[in-house]
Amino acid sequence: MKLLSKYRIEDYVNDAHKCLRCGFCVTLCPIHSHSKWESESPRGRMLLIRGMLEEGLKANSIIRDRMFECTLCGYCKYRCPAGVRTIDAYKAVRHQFDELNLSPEPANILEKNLIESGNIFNHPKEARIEWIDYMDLANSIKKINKPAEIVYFTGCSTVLSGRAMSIAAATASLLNYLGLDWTLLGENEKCCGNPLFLSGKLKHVEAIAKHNVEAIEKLGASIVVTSCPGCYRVLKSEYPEIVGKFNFEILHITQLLEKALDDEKLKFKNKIEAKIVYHDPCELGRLMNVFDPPRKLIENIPGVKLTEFIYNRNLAQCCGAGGLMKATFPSIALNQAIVKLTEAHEVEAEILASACQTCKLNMMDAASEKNDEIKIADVTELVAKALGIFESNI
Amino acid sequence: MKVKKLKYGKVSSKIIDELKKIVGEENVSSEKEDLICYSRDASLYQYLPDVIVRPKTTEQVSLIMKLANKNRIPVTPRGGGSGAAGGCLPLIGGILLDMRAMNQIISINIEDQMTIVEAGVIYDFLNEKLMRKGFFFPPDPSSGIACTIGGMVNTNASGERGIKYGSTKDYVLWLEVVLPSGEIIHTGSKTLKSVSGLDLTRLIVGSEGSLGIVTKVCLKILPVPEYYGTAVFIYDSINSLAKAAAKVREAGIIPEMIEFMDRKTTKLAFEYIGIKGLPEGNFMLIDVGGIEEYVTKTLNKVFEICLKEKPEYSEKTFEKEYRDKLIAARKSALPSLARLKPCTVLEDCTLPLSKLPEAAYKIEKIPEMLEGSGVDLGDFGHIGDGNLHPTFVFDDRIEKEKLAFLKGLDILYKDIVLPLGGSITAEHGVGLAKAPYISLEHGPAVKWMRAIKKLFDPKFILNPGKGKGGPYPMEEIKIEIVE
Repeated sequence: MKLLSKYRIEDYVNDAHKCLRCGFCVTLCPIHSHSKWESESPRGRMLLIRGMLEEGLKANSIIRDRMFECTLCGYCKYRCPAGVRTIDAYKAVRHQFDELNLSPEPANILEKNLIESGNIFNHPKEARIEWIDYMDLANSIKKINKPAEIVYFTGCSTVLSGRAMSIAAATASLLNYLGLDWTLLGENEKCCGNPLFLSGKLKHVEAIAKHNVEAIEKLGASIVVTSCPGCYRVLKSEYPEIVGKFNFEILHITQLLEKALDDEKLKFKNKIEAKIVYHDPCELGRLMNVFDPPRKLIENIPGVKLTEFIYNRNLAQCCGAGGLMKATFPSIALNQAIVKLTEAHEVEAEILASACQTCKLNMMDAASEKNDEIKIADVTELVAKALGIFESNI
Repeated sequence: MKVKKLKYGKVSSKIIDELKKIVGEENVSSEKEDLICYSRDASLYQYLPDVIVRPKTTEQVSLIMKLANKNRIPVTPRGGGSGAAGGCLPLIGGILLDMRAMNQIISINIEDQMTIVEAGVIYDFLNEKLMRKGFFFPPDPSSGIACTIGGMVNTNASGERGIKYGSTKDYVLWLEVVLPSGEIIHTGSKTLKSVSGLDLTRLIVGSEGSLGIVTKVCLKILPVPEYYGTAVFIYDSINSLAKAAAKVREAGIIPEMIEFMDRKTTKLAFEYIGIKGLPEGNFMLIDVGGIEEYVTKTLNKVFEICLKEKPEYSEKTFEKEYRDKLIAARKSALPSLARLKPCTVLEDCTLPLSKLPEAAYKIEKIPEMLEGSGVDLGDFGHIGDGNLHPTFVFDDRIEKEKLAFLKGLDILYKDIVLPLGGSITAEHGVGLAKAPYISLEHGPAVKWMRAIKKLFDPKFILNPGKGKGGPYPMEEIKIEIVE
C-alpha cells in the first residue's frame, strides 16, 4: 500500500537532521506548555527519533509515551523554519510501536472497537441512527442510505458519544433548510478510520476506506458533507492515497454553508447578542486550511461580535483532544482545554465557538471541571439557531 | 602542551536524591530519553548531561548550587535552548539546570518604565504583554518565540532593531544572581540611572552562564513607535548596497532597522514566501518608526540617499500589512536556506561599517574557496549595525562536508572578520563555537576574563569548558570524575 511509505520511520532521517533545534516549535506546543519537559516538545521528539535512527535508542515505553503525548495539531510543522515533517514522523514512530505490539492500551481498544463494530465506541451498528429519535427528527430526515445528491457523513463521536448529537441535528436542519437532496449512510457508515491513522495502526485502514467510498458511490452522491474535521481530513486527504480518485467532492459543513451565505440563501431571523471567539479545530484549520468559512458564518449572524484568540488560524492552539490525546492522556487534554477557556475569558468572549464535536466536548468537560459558565457551541448550532430552525440554550 | 588537572564529582544516586528533595521528584530526571533531548541546542554539538533539574525558585537554585559546589559537580544553565554557539551544552556532563519553570512576569510598571521578570520568561510572551500597554522591550532576537529573558541576558542578545535600540545590556537595570557558592546577590538598581557600585550588572550580562545563575531581571521598557514606514531596495552589487546603508547612517538617520540578504538568499526567500516579479539581486530593507511626520520625512530622505547608489528596484510603503510582508521576506532568510541541505549553521559576526562592502564580498566567495566540498553559504543580517549572519548549509553526515565547513569557519573568522577589525560574535555569544577564536580577538585580555571567572567560580563548576569563562581549551585539561 502506497500509504505505508509515509509511515516508515527510516524515511524521516533527513528530517531529524534538518531540525535546526531553534525551538520555534517548542513554546506554543500545547503539550510542552503543560509539562515543560524537553522530551515532551516537538524538538525533543525529533531528537528522540534521531536517537532511534542513529544513536541506538531502543523503542520503549518512555519513547512511546512521548510520541503519543502529542495532539498531532501540526503547529510544530507549520512553525518549523526548516520544513521538518514533524507530525508525519511521530505517526511513523507510532506505527513502529504498533508493529512491535507496544501501542498504548487506549489505542488498542479503539482499534478493536472499530474493527468489531465499525465505530470507536463499540456500539451496535444500529446505534448510529439512534440520534434521530433522541433529537426528535424522525419526520425531518427523509433518506437513510438512499440515493441522493449529498451524503452527510456524521462520524462516530458526533452521533454516538451521547453529548454532541445536537451538532448532527443542527446540520440535518441546515441541509433541510437549504432544500438539499441529502441522505445519511446510516448503519452502512463506518468510522472513517481516523483513530487508526493517528495511532499508526494501518492494518485495517484500506478495508475501511474502501467500504465507505463504495457505500457513498453506491448512492450516486456528488458531494459528501461532514461536520467532523477529523472525518473531513481523512476523507479528503487520506482516502485518495488508498483508493485513488473518487467521483465525489468532500466538504466540511462550514464550506457548504459559506456557499449558501454567498448565494444569499441564509435568511437570519434571530439575533445572537454575544461576543463570540472562534477556536480553529486543528484538522480543519491548520491541517486543511479552512479558516474563513466558519468565521464568515459567525460574523454574519445578526448581533454577533466576532473576536479572536491571541493565537489564531495557523498559530491556533489545539483544544488538547487531538491526536488521540482524549483517549490516551485525558488529563493533559482536559488541562489544555482549561487553558482555552482562560484564553476565551481573556478576550472577553461570552460564547466559545468551534466547528468540531471533539473540541466542543473537550471544552465542555473543561467548563464542567472549572464550573465555568461560558457557553460552548458549534458553528452549525449558532447558524441554525439564528435561522430559527434549531432550539438551543445558547 | 601543559596539561592541568581538574577534578569533578560524580552525579551519584545520592546527589540525585538530594536534588529531588530540593525541587521535587517531578522536576528531576536522569532518564536517557530526557538527557538526549537536552544534549543539543541550535549548534552542531552534542553533550549529554547526567541529570536535568528544573528549579522554580531562586532559593532552590541556591540550594542546588550549594550542593554542586560542595561536591564539585558541573552545572550548566539552559533557557530556551535556541542558542547557536553551544553555550548551554553540558560539556562535561553534570547537572543541567532548565530555567524555564521560573517563568513568572513579576511586574510591569509603566509609571516607572520597567518590568521585573523571572529568567525563564519567553521573550515573545513578555513583549506581547507589554505591547498591550503600548510598551516593549526592544532587543528582538529572531528566536523571540523560543528564547528566554535569562538566555538573552546571558548572551547579551539583540536583533534587527539593534541599530536603533542597542542590545539587552542597554535595558538591564538590576539582576538577581545565584553565585556558584549558592550565595544570592542583587546587582544594579531598580531605577533608570545608578552608578553606585562597580557595574556587576554589565559584567554578568553576556557572561554566558559562567559567573552566576541569573534568576530575576529588571528591564527598562520603552513606548512602541506610533507610526512606521518601510523602504525596500534591490541592488545588483553588494558593494552598492553596503555603501547605501553606510550613507544612510552618515546622514544621521537612525532607522528601526537596516536589514539585508545577499543575492542567493534573496532568491530563495522570495521563492519561499511567494514574492514574484522583483528583479534578482541583493535585498535591503530600511524601516523607520516614530510620529507620522518624522517617518514620512525621514523615509523620503532614505529614498533619496539610496537611489544615488542606483538600485535595480525600489519601493516604499506605509501600509502595515505590506510592511509585515516585506519584513517577513527578510525573516524568511534562515528558513529558506535551511531547506537546501540537512544541516544549517547560522554564524554571527560584526564589522566596522566602513568594512562591510569588503567583508560581504569576501564572505560571498567562501563557497568558491571550498570548491567541490558540497558546502554552500548564504549571507544576511543587520547591516545597519555591521552585524552579518553568514549561514553555512551542508550535510553533517558527510565527513568531507563537515571538514570543509570547519575550514569555512576559519576563513570567515581568521581571514575575513578579524583582519578587518571585526568581532567574532555580535549577539549569539562565544559558547563552544567561537571559543577557538576568542584569544585571536582579545589577546592577553582573555587572561583577565579567566581571572574574573576564577574569582566568581574557583572550582570551575559553572558552565565549564566554554570560551568566555573556561577552563579552556579542554585539550589542555585532564578531567577526572571522582566518587
